[in-house]
Amino acid sequence: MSTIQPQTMAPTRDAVLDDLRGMLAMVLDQYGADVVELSEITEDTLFHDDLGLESIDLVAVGALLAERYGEHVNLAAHLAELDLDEVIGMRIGLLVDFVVARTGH
Amino acid sequence: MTVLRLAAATPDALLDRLDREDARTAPVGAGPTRIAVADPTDDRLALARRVVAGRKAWRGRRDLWFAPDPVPGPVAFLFPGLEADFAPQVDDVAAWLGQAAPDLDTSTLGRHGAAVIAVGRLLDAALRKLRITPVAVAGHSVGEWTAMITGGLFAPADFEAMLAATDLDALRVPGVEFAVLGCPVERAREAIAPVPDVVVSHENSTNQTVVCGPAEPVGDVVALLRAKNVICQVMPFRSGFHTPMLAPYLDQFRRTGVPSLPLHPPSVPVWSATTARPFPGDPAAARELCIRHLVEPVRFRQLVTALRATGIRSFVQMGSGQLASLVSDTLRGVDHLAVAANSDRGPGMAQLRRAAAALWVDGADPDFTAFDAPVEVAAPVRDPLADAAARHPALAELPLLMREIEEAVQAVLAAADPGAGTVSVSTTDMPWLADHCFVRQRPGWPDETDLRPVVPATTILHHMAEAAVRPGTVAVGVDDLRLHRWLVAAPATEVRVETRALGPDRVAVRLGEYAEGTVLLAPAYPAGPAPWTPSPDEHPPAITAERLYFERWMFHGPRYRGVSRTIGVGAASARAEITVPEAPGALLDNVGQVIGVWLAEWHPARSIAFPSGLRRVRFHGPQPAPGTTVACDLRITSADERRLTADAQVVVGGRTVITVEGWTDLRFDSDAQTSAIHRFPETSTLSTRHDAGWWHTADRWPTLASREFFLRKYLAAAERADYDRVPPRERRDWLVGRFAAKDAVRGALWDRGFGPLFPAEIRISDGADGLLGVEGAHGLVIPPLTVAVAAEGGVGVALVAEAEDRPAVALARVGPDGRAAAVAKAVAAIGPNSDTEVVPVDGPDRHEYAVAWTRARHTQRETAP
Repeated sequence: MSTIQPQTMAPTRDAVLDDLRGMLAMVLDQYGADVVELSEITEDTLFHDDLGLESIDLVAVGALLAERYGEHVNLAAHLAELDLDEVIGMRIGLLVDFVVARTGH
Repeated sequence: MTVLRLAAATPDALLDRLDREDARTAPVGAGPTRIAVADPTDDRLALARRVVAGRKAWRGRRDLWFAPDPVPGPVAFLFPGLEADFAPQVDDVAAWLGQAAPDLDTSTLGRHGAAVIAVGRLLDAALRKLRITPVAVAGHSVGEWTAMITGGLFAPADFEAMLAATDLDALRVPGVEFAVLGCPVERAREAIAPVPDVVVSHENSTNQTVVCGPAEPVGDVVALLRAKNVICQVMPFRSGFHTPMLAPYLDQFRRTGVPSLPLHPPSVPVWSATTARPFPGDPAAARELCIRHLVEPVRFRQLVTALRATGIRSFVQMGSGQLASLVSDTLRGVDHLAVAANSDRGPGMAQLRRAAAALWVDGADPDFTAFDAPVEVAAPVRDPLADAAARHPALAELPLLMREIEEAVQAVLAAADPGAGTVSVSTTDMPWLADHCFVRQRPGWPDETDLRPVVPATTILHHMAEAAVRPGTVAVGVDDLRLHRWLVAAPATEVRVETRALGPDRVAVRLGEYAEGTVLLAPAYPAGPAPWTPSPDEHPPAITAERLYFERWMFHGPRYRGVSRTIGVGAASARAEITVPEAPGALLDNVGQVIGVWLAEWHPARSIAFPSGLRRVRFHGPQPAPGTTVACDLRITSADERRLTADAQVVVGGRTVITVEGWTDLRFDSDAQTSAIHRFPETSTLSTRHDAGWWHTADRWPTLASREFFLRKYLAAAERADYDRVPPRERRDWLVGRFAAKDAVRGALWDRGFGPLFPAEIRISDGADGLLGVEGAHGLVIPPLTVAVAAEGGVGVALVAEAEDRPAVALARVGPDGRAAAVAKAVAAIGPNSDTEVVPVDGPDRHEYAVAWTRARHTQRETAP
């Protein structure tokens, strides 16, 4: 598993998606399979239904996001504002929205 | 939804199969490399090919399961507790099982808990229907109770009765909240350390911990951790379960809740999430653990780790929710399968198919044909009057009115006319009687009359009460039940049931020539007396419930075996737990079996006894439902050699539901040998072998009833017909001769290496020339043998020899003329070349007998038996 380098510049949407692909691949990898093709993950990919991830996996994603972008990208605080249904039905695009919003100027 | 399943010998072979055009419709095939794909779209099949090519196990993401070469992994069932979201999809599963759909109301904590348990039990039934059986069961929080039920620690009926009577909502600490924290327990402890009153209540998984405490400080902890990027969620229900804060609320629970339920040996190991170990076998320790369960944290992470360490690799989440993800979070990087048997999203049967497929991929062998089995649904009973009333509102009161008229008419008829009817008594009409047979025979024995299925006294009582009861009344008791004759169900018979009103609330009932008694009626059951306190001299009985049946102290088969735990015996008392069997009257029959527990403890060699009458029985409520565990306390009021009288109470949940006074058992004459033939006829004998090879026995059944009892153990139908042809005064000697002959033949066959042989398997018949014929019955093939028999004064002697031999045996009682005279008499009977010996024979009078015997071939005829 590679480490994720901290970033200081405000990332573009595509760059965030690309980062997320890498993070999701790492989270998915713990389930013993590394055959999800990263290009398959788009903004429309569903966290649960498509990737088979559970809300508890968001913990890992949240930690990776904070590591990459800094503690101010606080997924936990963001999720606290959502209903559980929204968390479960999480679309990757919404994660991108969140990161862009927190890292933008 | 369809699930494509394919198996092959190797991943390469599986890839070949996936590449074929007809992959979606191909037969499953065989082999250790397996894949399952739900709704196999082109996309999913493409993914499947990549997964197989990767040769690494894939367990469930995107509805796909793959294992390259699984060793069949043992399965654990994990039952969820209360979770924030609860919308299981089980209506279709219930329909498939032919069960009513469970009530999913979650409006109160208690209802929510009951619903979670009901769903868990339903899914347990569903998986078992699919032949998926766990090697361990466990649960999260309230799910541990589900595990205890499905694992057999509690009888389901007991649990339901407890739940109905318990207000789970009273078990709640006011004002405390749970917060689910997305962090390891160490981090959670660190966060709550400075906060008073907040404690860890659940160690759910590596990255999930639940804390509990008053709303305000819990809110502070959540805010603090969220600021540090820990995902937190406050649960929508409050309880305080699994924390010391609950301790002050537990008194009632301890007395009437889960810890008060009768415990049974589990059918599957039940693991505790408090200790991460199986429940202790000691009931007191298990009960204590039920309390700890509520005041100590749920250690689910440790539980999952410990289960995995035993080799369990597949974990099934027995409900909807997040439990499987807790397993996967804990077992990150460790080979395992976590699959949900139900889901909030999507039909229940579809998720069940996914779970079965996932387990199949991991080497299990579910019965997929069960998915296609027709569903048995009971047709609703239609009431034409009610239908009419529904269509015509003006007739709304018609059904009620008609019922009143009907009741009035019946009451008039009942008072005016003695009633009569018949009851069909046979093992077809009463199949449970196959488990109430006085005589044990080889399994599959074709002649039912040789088994002697007998209607138990208590079943007779049950039928009498049913015959007497009138509309608007219940049978609240039976007085002076007298049992005149065995009511035998083979051959089938019709018995006349006559009822005669003795007064408005007393009905005399007569069941043919077999039994009579008086049934008491009342509009409602009267309250019962307070349960007795256990006798102070009680000690644990030597005979456990298992031994009671396994060692055949009781002859009853499974459908009459209700004693599930023997608790204590005293000089004149016995206590046991009875799990009510289905068979009518079986509960009271088991009260009689508790008398058997007492006899087995104090009089093991003379433990055979059968009821002859019950002076007074009172019912203080409806019969406890089958499966209910009841307590039976028995007090022996008198006991001598011939009879034994006892009183008894049957108690459910601290309430006396049945009282019995003056239950009288007649004791049968028996000693160690007759007791053995009663319990293990196939390996025991009534006769004793002399060193020289002949066998002798003596009559130890002075009453006709006990003679009949042992006769049935030895003689098959044809031989009983022979017996009936013997003049009455010769029958006693004829019978001991047959007993000795059968034991001598069985002894000779055992010498030749034969296994267990029931006496009835040896057919002894009168031969043409005064010799006895020896044959195997109903398929038993034996070598040619011949047997000689002599009997006198209730003593029988038998000698077996090869078929070509001419064995002879004679006996003469040593009288006032002395031994020499007796020897001479015996020798004279069979010829001069015989051996002789004078032996004391254990008979009714312990006389000495001279026995003369010879196996020599000679032409002289021996004495006829």
